[in-house]
Amino acid sequence: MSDDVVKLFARDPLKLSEQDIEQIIEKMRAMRHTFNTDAAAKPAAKPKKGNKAEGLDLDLDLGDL
Amino acid sequence: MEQRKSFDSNGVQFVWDSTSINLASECLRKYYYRMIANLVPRSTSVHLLFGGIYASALEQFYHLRAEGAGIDEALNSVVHRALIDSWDHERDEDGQRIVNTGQAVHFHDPYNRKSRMNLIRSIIWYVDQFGDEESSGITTHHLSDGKPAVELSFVLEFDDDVMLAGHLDRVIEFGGHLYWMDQKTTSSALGPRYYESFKPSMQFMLYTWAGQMVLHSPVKGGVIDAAQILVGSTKFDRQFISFTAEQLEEWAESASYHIARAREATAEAKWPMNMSACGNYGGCPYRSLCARPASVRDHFAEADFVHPAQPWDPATPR
Repeated sequence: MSDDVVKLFARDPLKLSEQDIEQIIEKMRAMRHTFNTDAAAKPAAKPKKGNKAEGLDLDLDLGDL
Repeated sequence: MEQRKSFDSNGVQFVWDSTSINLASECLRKYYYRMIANLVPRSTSVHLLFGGIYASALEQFYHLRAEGAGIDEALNSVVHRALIDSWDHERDEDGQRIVNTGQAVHFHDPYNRKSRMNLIRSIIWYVDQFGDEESSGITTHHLSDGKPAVELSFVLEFDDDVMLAGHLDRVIEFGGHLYWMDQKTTSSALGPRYYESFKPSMQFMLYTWAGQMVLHSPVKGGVIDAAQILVGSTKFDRQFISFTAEQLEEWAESASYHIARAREATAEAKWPMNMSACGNYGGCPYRSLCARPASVRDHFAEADFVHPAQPWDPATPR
């Protein structure tokens, strides 16, 4: 597991931003394709999406969930 | 302890769920410790902790999807929620989490399978495997009022003076039939032997019976989405399980018998041990209490067990 993700896991999750969560998901997805190469585990083509929150320095809290 | 909704003024339980029926059928002493005395081991079982957060996250995922959220949006939300649920924050006087306090929950799995990292990994991988249902033919069932059939808590009449309660995470439509869906985590291999352990099953037969009552439709059975948690990976499998009307009738007779027996035991305050069940499921958590002489048992109960602030109460919706 990359140091970046380990550091994110060590942070108070109430302080994690949407970008932090996306980074965790991206890294974890990449791990699956390393471990498992069957059809179900192959990466699905994901449309590139705009990142509206980028640059907003947005922190999520419980009210966002 | 304040009066629970599932118990009458004499302390006799009249609203039952699969957990309490299982306890009563397995060992009346175990039922007494868990349901009547409200005692639980001081350290939470790693399996309950891991499985609870995992199932809750996926239940919420399908709820968000049924409300129109995209897969990525729903996944981001439930991953964040699971990260919070697996962090042991200090709480304020209203029970709210205090930012910048506490630490990650340690799962205490001697085999390092069920860890916080593996929990989040499993949620993400599950969604990658099953989250996009367009090609699977599975859709969330919608109730007659148009609401999606997710997070359905029910309390239904069963026998004289007895009601059954529970919670269906989600009801789906597949091939023209209705099924409940349930999430399971295990360290066992996902082969035929694993699924055989659910036939018969107090929990799943109750779900099937309740699904028919709640939805007024012939629910055939359920879909089990199983995740095998390994140290470095998680494997998934999906199996359908069904029960006939004859099987459900037999289940109802058995459930009724065990409930009646436990209600009589409560009225008489007699809680015999079933010593042949002490080794079930890796060992009964109350075994250490039963192993002590009755005269000193209360002392050990206070040291090794706690009374949860919110006692198990089947009639209280989640």
